Amino acid sequence: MAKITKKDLFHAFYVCLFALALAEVSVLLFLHPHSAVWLEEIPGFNAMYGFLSCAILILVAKALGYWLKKEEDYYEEKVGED
Amino acid sequence: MIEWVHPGFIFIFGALLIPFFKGRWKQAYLLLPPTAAFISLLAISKGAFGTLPYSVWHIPFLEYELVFGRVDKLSMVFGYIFVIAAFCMIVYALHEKSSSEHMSQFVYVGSAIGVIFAGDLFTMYIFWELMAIASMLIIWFHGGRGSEKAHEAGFRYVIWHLFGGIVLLAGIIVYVASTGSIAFNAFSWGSGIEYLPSYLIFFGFILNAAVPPLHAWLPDAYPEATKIGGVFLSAFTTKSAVYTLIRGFTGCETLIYLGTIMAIYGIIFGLLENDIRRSLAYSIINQVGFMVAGIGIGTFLALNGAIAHAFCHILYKGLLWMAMGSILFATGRSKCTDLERYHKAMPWTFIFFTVGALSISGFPLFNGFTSKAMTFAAAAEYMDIIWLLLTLASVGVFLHYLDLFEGLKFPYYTSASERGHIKVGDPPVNMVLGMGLTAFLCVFFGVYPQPLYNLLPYPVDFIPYTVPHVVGTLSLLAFCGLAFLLFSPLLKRTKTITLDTDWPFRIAGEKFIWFCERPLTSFASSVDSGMKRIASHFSVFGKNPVTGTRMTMDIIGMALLKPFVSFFHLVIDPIYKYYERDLAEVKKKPIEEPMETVPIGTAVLLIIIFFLMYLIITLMWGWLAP
Repeated sequence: MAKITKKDLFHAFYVCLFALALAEVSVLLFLHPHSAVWLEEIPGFNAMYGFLSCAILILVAKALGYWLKKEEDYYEEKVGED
Repeated sequence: MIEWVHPGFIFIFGALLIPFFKGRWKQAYLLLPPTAAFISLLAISKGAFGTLPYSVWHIPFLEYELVFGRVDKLSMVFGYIFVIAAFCMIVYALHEKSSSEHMSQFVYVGSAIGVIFAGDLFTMYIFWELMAIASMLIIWFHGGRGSEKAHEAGFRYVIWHLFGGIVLLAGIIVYVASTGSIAFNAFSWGSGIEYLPSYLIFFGFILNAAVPPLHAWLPDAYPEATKIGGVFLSAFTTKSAVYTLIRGFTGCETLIYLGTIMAIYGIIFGLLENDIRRSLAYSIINQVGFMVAGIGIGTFLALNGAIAHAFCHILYKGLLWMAMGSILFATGRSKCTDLERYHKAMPWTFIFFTVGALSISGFPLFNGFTSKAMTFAAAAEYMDIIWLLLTLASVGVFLHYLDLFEGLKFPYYTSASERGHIKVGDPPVNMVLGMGLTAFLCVFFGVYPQPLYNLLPYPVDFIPYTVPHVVGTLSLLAFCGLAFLLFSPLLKRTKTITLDTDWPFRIAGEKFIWFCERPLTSFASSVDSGMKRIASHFSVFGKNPVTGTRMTMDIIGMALLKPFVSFFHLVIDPIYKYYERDLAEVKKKPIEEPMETVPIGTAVLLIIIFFLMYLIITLMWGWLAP
């Protein structure tokens, strides 16, 4: 049995992504699901929004990290000052 | 009237017997109270649902009547999940030898159940406070004798909760005074001073639900608890607050916004955190956010969603804490930057963590998918922007757990050939069993949610497994995964802590203590010594008025002249020096009763003069008086 490498897993993942995007569009075209939100009627909305929200969260977290991350002994140090 | 035993009391009184058992017997006994409580719930559900709402266990108290057992569908669903979760957690905790830790866990669970079944505000408040104290004890058990950090965190924790409890009590008192009723039902909501009791009670509830900015106790204290304690804490405090919010504030619009903020807040802070247990604690805030938003929307669908989500959340979050607890058990580490690859050595832990992570991310076939979706459907009907933001937070959950997997160094994209080199193994069999049981329930309610839907208080016509829903969810999650692959280097863990809203309190608190210790204390001691000097001066005066007067003159003279000494040196200085010398001279002699002796004749003369004056005054009085 051939070893499964990291590369294979990535390829499988990309195939899944493609299949899902395709499935989403075809669901919209053929099943005409009723959705309470008009945005969901856009083809590929879930895929785009999934990507977008993940990216936004990572960037916001990164930005806040510059401000909020402190050394582990931050509070102990403060106590030690006086 | 159905005879029943309050399941909360089964736990609380069951706790008292724990120290009498040892070894195997104790392990067997520990499983008894949750089983008995479950049977008691089954028994009550048979009799009670005929006439809803159904109340038993009235106890007269002052001029009111306490209702310990209000049984309706809402309290029953929470009762079931609390007892089931407690059973799984106790299985997980069986190996623990400390009776007192078990006792505090039992009291904690029992008081949370007490809050659920409380039919009036007083009963609710009593259990509310008991829960705060029992949970503080759970935090203090860290490291057997209690490590310093856990001790401090426990103090901060209980200060938050006692503060919230006092605000709640104030609200209850104003409410009872203005309405004359102690019934715990929906509170009126609006703007204006007449809603003050609602605001105060609301504050107490949302503090326990960990709504920012009142949430800092949660990520501060929960991770300091023991491996087992954290598992218990993750389930009961916040979820009983969710229950009280449903009871009291369904449809309160403020909750929608608070919940949405919570959901996003929890994700972002969870991503920043290095300690995985702290990160899981932020994840609780995120999850409770979905529930709080659902309560705010307040439609039947949204409430069902919030309750089902609370039900499932208790299971999968408990599972995640259990898995993290067993990693901590095996390695003694919980920080991403300290962890190494353990998946080979701890296969069960790895599998259960994965089940928990998939459940919380809402993957189809796991219970997060079947429960959370209802809240989202309700949000979509309510307002687009809320739906968008909640979906963003929901995608973030998956991102968060992908990130934790990387932190845990679980092999989600490494090749299977890489070997772990750490000599650690899966935890004791009871811990694995506890996790297995919980994981089973997570998958069970994911595949077959009908039993859960039947428990919900409102009729459910929601079908989770439709093609558009499954495909939509999967593509949301998959493309989130893609974004994670691209951006994950940005989230590299660092050996840091993250500041949160407890910062002002911790820093200001410290400054306050400093102020008390330094300026305030020195001011107090200066007042104190000043008073002492005045007092001693008076005593000198009393003993010897002559010396006292001389001393007073000297001191006053010196005080008056002192400012001018440097200006009018020639004139003032000799006088000042004179006073100084005089004072020193006075002080040299021990101050006592006058030592000058007077001849006896003088004394007699004085006495005669005294009598003479007395005589004159008496005569004059007789003459003056009419």
